[in-house]
Amino acid sequence: MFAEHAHVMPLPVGEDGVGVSLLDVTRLVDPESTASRFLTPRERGEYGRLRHPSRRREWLGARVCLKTTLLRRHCISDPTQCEIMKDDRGRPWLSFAPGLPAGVMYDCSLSHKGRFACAGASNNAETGIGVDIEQVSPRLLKLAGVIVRDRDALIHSHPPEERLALLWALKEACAKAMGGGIGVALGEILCEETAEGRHRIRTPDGDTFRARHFLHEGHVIVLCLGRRASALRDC
Amino acid sequence: MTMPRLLTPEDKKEIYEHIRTFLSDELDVPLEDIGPDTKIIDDLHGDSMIYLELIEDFKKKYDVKVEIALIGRYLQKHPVYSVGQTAQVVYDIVERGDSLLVADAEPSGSGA
Repeated sequence: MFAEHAHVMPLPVGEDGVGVSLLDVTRLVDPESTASRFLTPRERGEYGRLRHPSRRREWLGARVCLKTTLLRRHCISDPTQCEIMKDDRGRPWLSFAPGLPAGVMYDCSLSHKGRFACAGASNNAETGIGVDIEQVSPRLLKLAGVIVRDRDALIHSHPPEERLALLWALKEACAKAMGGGIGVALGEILCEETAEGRHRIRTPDGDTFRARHFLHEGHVIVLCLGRRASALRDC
Repeated sequence: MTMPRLLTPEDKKEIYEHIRTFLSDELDVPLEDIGPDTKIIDDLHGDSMIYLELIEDFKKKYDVKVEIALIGRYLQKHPVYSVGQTAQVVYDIVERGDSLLVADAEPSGSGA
């Protein structure tokens, strides 16, 4: 049992084989000690190269979130049995220590914003996962023309900043689930809320993803799921 | 429709310096800490939104009316991490306008 466990909050995503957790990174009272217990030597090297103090804490917090999710699901018994790697496009993937069952978690996603870090993992080999967290902020207002498409639809009216944070988080999470970056999020991705907190997201290629959103202390957290390479799933 | 334009070295220098100043102001980082190889997220604690803000800023400044989805497709082919890469994308957007992807598809020196 790690002290950090108490602060990592599982979100009620209601998806078999999918776990998403949230952490207030200000609860990491001794980040260097946490890093030494949660990170592999290679990860500690990467962590050591980050210079900005807030960036270091968020980066670490997201990894604590992800590894705590794996610990709770008994995929690993120690955080260092798993390493979070990145492919050449910057997308994270999980590498497990020898001796652990192969493919216990097939896909993962990380996000952080300000005080919060979140992470998700899926044990379905065909399911791509994307998580994103955005702060509800007036900063978003001047970007409305970039974020919102005419056909984006939410069920309830939201305050403008919250609506923009939600739509951007949906598009970013979809881009992550697809394995793309900000360029994908800026594309013709259309979001439709099909039931309260549940969304259908369509990409320009005709692929469909499903998503859920949660609100927590002025932040929007989105989980997006779809078929890993080319998704076509109903909500 | 945005007509392509050719940026002079002075224009490019101005854009690059504007990016540095923008990031310094928005992210509260000393200007001298921002160079071409500085990574916007890892080194400056920026986020994806800062790229959008930069692009919108330059679209207004240079009266560029390129659709954001087109810029999105361009960024899929040219991922940006550093200040120098971001400057290059801005040069391309301003210089190529609506031809952003068309020009990208043509090999350098084609038609010569």
